[in-house]
Amino acid sequence: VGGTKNILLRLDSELAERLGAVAQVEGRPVSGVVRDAIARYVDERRQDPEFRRQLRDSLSRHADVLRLLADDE
Amino acid sequence: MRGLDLAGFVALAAEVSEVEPIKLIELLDTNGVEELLAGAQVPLLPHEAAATLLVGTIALNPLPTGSHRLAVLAAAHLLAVNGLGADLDPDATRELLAGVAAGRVDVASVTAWLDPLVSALDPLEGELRRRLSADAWRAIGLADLRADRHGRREATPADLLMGLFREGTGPAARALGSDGQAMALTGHSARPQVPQRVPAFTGETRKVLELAFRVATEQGHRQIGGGHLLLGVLDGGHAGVLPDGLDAAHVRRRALDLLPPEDESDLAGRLARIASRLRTVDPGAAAELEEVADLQRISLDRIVEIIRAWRGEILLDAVAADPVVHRLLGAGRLDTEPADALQQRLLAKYLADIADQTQLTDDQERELAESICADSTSRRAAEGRRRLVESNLHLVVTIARTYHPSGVPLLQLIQAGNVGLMRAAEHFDPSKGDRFRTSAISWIRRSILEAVSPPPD
Repeated sequence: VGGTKNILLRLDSELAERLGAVAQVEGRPVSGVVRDAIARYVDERRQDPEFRRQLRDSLSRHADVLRLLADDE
Repeated sequence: MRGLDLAGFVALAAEVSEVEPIKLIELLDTNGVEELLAGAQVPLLPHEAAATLLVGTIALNPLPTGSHRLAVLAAAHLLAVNGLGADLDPDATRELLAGVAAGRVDVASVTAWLDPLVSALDPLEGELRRRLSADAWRAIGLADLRADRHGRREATPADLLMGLFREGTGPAARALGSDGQAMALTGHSARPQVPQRVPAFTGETRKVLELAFRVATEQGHRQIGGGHLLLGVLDGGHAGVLPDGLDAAHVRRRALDLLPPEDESDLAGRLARIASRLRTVDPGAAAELEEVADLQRISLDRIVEIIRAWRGEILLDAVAADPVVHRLLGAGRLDTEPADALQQRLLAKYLADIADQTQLTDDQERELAESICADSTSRRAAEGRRRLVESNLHLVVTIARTYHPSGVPLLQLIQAGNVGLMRAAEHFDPSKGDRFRTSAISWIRRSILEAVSPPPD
């Protein structure tokens, strides 16, 4: 666990060009733009009402086992 | 079945670890996670996918603290997005996870453990609600009505079965012989639509719904219809609630026959998934099956030939257990010709090994011939002869098959043929202008005939 991971990303050329253009305009490395995009995608998911409801249900359904496991850590 | 994607997994990891997603993305072995998520997809059944995710997450140990909680949450979430849930006993779960972490408990054991614990969520929601067909909803409406009439707050499997029986239009009614006797849905919409009120089910009925979900997943069906529900009732051990005079085995067969045709488009994908399911049980067999799955260009007959070679082994069982694959490959074809397992296994291995060898083009052969002509004793010439041999291994298999009725094992014929092929390569003289294949055929035949002929007294 930990450290920085290299990810091989296959993109079609058009998307890669757009990604390069965004990075150039913003003056940032492409990898940073990709990381931000993924993080934004994850944030969107976290705010999705259905995801939140299912997560809430899972957390309450399995509250006891999750508490037990947290105690072990 | 819906799987879990990277965004969902990272969002769950963020929930457990309280680390921001952007940091998590740097922290996580994203490739490992992607591979794990890809392995927990259809055609695995939901409880199998959840077990795969649970074990895989613990093995990956993606968080400094909280990987066990993430594993539980990811498995639970995968079930939840499919309208399913599991009743996990906290102490038993903790003990099981410790066993997984210590390498004592594998995916198959976790799957078996999870199997009876998974059922449909109540009330019906999300994915399950979306996937139920109109006839299934009609039957559920009637089941709810029947439960209500009998003063039950929750519908039992018997209520559901009677709902299917009285629904009168769908495949379940046809399997039960009650088609054409549709009952009015008093108190429900006249049209077969999702009821306004979500019916409540007993635990047993929720298990039946989950089993119906499994049947649909196994069959490659998007929609869960009355036929799947009927099979769920029977698979759930409720055959006793069938009306008098109906034989459970007969109804089951009829219900299976009446299911819609399976999706044939993804045989390679299904084989790959079976391989992923097998990986922890028998890595060698899984690797071989993955190779077959890769060979999308090869014919069904070829796949049957290779798979049949694993007769009696775990792999054949695993392949036959997937109804779609089994039907696509032809149950009859898989069940014929008992043969010596070792011979067959070696043959399959050999066929898989040479599967990538392709016939040389005319230009490539000419080029090789020139290199051999230039100096027949040079290393280049030797390399050219080797390539001639390799590119004609399939030719040997084809010729050997024609001698197979002789009773000599095919692999032995192929070996003899390969000796002939090597002799042909040694004697090949491009300057005579013959194509290699032409002269090789007679060398291969001669060599095989020697193997087939009884030795002189």
